[in-house]
Amino acid sequence: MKRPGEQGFTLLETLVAFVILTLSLGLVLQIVSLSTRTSIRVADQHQALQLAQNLIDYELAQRQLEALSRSGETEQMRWESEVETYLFPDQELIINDSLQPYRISVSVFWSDNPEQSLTLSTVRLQRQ
Amino acid sequence: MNRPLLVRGFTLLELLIALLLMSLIAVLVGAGFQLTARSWESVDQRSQALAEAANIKHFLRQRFSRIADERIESTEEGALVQAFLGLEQGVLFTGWMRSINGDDRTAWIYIRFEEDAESGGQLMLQTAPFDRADEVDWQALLSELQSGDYPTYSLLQRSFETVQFSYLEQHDSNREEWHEQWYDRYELPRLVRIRFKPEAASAVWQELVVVPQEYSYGIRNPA
Repeated sequence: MKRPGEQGFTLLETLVAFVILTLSLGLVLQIVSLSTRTSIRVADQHQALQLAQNLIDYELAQRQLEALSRSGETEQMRWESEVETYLFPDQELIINDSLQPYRISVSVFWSDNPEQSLTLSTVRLQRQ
Repeated sequence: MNRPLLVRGFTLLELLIALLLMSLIAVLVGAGFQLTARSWESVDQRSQALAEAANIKHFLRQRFSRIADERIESTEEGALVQAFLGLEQGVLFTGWMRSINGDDRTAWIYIRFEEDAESGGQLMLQTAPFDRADEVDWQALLSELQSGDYPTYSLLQRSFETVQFSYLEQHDSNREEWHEQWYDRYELPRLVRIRFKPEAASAVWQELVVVPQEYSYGIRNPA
């Protein structure tokens, strides 16, 4: 069939090579789409963090601390903030109990299948 | 010519089918690439906008949470008032600045929104030396700052339609009020709120609410 010393690809080989090339390109595209999804997630998380910081700053600005909970919604997110009395691990041992610690925590939830959430919390003191 | 008899090429039909297959695949790959390139670009733009907004907000949050608790004598009030002038489109307050030789000192910090016919509205930052012995005339101080003796920095090369500042007053735990101005007061606002309105709609510029650290870390007194 062939002249001696002359060798090329057959049509079939070329086609197979082409298919392999296409598949590997598909893999590259998949990586791109993954990174796109990741950056959308980062944007959502950043938005949630901003919201949580705003909310916790609102609680920290209050003149008095009292146990309460608030909740609300923005366009894409739902939030809950809670202030409750808090007990430090060894607090019973301390005789001076003129200071009452309160724990302030803010959670933000957003749907991203599965639902994502982010919580910030801190402790502040109030004189009795 | 010494041509062997048995050399056989493709038939026309085989060649046509092969070409058709290859071009189909090529078209698919090309379309996929175009789509990818476009979405990649828009994702890149969005994440750059996000990074920019995050940086600026981080800076503003730091600055506003670290407002120094300084008092000055205001010419108008004739009494010691908080060194804080809050306007609808700008805030003048005191804070720590690191000087070139490395020591921290209190300085006036003026952050304002400035409209510019050429580049649109921008957020500007200005600092000036602070002396607590000075009697302060807010008008005079503002025009001194605007005269350009102190360097002005543009915080962000992005134009906003508006940037609005407001200040929270809290009478008691159930009654609070947002003000558009805050000066000649005896205490700092409980919260400073900044609302951005960028020229192009963007999801990354939500409002910013900051509590001064004096309130944040202080021990609360009972009602």
